[in-house]
Amino acid sequence: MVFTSTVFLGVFLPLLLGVYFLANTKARPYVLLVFSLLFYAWGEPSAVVIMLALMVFNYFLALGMTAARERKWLSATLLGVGVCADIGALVAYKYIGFIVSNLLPVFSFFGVKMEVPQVALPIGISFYVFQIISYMVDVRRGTVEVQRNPFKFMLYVSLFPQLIAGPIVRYATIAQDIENRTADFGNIVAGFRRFTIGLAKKVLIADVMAGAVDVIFAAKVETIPGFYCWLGAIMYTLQIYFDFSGYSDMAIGLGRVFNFRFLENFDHPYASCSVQEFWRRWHISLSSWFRDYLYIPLGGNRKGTVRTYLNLFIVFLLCGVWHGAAWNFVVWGVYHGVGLVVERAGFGKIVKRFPKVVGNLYLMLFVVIGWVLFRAPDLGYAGTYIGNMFGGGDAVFRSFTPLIDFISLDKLVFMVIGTVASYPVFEPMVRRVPESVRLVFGVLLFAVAFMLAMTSAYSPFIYFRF
Amino acid sequence: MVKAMKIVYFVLVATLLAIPALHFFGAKEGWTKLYGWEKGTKVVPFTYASYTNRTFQTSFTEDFSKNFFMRKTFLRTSLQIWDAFNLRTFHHGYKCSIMDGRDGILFEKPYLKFHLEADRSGDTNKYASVMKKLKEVDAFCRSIGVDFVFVPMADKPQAYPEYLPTWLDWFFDYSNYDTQGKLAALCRANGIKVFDSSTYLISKKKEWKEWVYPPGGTHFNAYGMGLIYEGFTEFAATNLANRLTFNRFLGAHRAEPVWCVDDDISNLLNIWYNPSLWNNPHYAPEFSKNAVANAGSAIVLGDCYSEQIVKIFKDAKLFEPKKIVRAKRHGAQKAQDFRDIIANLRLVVMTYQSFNTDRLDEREKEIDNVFAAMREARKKVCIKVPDKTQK
Repeated sequence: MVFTSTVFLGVFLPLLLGVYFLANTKARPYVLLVFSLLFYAWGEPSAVVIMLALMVFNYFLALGMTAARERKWLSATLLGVGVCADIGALVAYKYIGFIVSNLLPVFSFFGVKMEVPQVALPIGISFYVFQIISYMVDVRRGTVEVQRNPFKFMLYVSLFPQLIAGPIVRYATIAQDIENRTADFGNIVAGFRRFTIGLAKKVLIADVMAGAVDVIFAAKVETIPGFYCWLGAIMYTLQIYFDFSGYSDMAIGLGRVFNFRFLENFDHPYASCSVQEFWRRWHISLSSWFRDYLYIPLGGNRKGTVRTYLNLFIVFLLCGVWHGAAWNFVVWGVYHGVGLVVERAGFGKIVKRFPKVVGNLYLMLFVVIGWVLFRAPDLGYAGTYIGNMFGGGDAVFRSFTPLIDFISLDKLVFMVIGTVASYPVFEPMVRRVPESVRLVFGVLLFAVAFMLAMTSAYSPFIYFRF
Repeated sequence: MVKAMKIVYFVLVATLLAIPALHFFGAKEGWTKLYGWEKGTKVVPFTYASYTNRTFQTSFTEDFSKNFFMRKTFLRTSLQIWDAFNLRTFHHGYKCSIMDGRDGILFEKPYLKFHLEADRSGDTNKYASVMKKLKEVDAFCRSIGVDFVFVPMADKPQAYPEYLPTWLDWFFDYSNYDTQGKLAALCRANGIKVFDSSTYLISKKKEWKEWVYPPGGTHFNAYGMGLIYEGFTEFAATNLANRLTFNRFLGAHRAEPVWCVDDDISNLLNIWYNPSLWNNPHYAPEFSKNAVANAGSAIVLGDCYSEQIVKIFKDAKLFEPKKIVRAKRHGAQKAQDFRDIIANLRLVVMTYQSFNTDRLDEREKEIDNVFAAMREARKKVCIKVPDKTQK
């Protein structure tokens, strides 16, 4: 189930709101839990069992760690078992096919016949596994109290707004909110307003860009002229941002409706002037997770320059791997890792001296090329595509016929709107508008986005596949 | 004041959210069937099997998505908003963006784009390029004693300009638009046989007994194709060297009314995936019962209308069914596909709707591909020398 689907908007959400706000305060966490599990089980009949198994397993391990707090070796072992089980589940369901297919030459060298296992990827596993790991580590570190109520722990993991595509929520962020189930009218209105913004980003910008992007990337790469390669890359840059940040807005908004305060996941990343800044603004919950649970435990920047670079490289390699079981994601991660290392090595100081416009252009060029790696079906395609962007290939501009029917006023208008909206331009202007006017506009925007979502075909979110 | 507005905001949003959910209290809005043969929706009973294989979820989603309360109002409202800003009204696929015309008649934007942009300048280079290709094709067919006929097809804006959106009046002078007619005139001037189906069809507009394009449809229906067939038989009688027997078109049979002015976009999706009423078993053409097929064979190539031409030729028994071959539009055309028919080939028909001004390279590649395969097939088959005394 996606937030923009008819079943979610027309059935699930109204039903949940009705049942939740009619229930008494004590029952509300359980109502949310049941509906969250239903939300997941609707689209993942088998995979819900995996999530339940992981939740139960880690719940007991966390209790064990707390009980064994005085015996550090035992609590460390329990943590290790938990993390291994969680990562093991992630590898088994997400990476096993990729690993086996890449090791096939090795197997055949030793005369071993192997078939690449076809394993269905449970939606959201990358997100909830990371969430569980963060909880386990925080419990071991003592930064959060273990949640003894199994249902409230399950609610934390499976809370539907952030379950499928983040943000990755730390337990500390919502521990109090889980206990506080009173309804707050101000939060309900604020939550719906935030949800509306996310819905509008998805249906009005991301989905519009997606139409052209899908056409371009479906074409044979050698037939795509450079101009359209750039157009496709830029449109995808907008698509992925508005798709993902739109989803995050919807998740944060829905959380707020139910009195959960999630942290922000995006902070106008395309307004950055360096790769380092970009990663402080893009998918903040993931980058902070990697910082707190991988980079810092590896030593961070406290073990010398070379080790710092190595740690950065490892983090971004794994970040790329997290995004997908394919080489182009790995290369994308390495690409960003190398960019960060180069900036740390001194280029960043040079970039800071540039005027902001130049710095931003540099960053956007870097990011746009990176997104081609992300979107392309494979590395070969990405390489040729990027080559075309810089003058390679001999595809003639006017001969790229698939797009002639397709570039239209709406796409160009929304491309401009999307580009401007990527920067913190609208927010200051909107804040000057009277609240009453903003509310009126909010209703109209909700009505338009709601009607479009209810009457359009299925369009999944990009980060769903993680 | 702000608090009151927040309450109003909440009430309005909650109301909007609640409207579709009234579906479960009996307030359903039936899915408008445009063509009668479309299956309705039905929710599969919930069982362990239907849940785990997701048929329950799929059927539930489809049933709700197509029948929820006030769906048509939602559709119309969002369409009109986009149209008011001259932005997209609907997107489906990479080229089927729909324009909402007058009285609920729908048009495809790409065809409007052609009218607006591609031919107003009367770009002679484009026509010259098309004519060059047609001459090559015609010369080849003449060399092997086969009739070649080019059949440009009308599009919906040409057939129903009176239903085009109001705002288009500001940009477009319909009287100046007739790309198919201009192309046909050039063909005649160059000795290429052309049946201008577009001009023929529109010349008979006063005699039309029903819609030739369904209000929400993208292709001619069986009635429209039947009219074109009739025109083609008149054309053939005086223009084709090879004498062919044409069987009489009696009319298009249909089981129930096939249009609805207040169109439903999900039906439009079905139309796009089932591109023509022609494929509807309940809406079929009828031909004279004593139909007799000609000896020989035919090749039809071109866009989606070539498929309709093949069907009408088969239904009318212009040739035996296996002797009418539709050339491949995409992908490699192989010589062996023509192996069984090339020796007795009598007619080649090419039809395109948007041939003249757009996607020229793509069209030319299709044609080159087909004729290369025809040449290859001829080399491998012993060809009878055509009787040059036959008129």
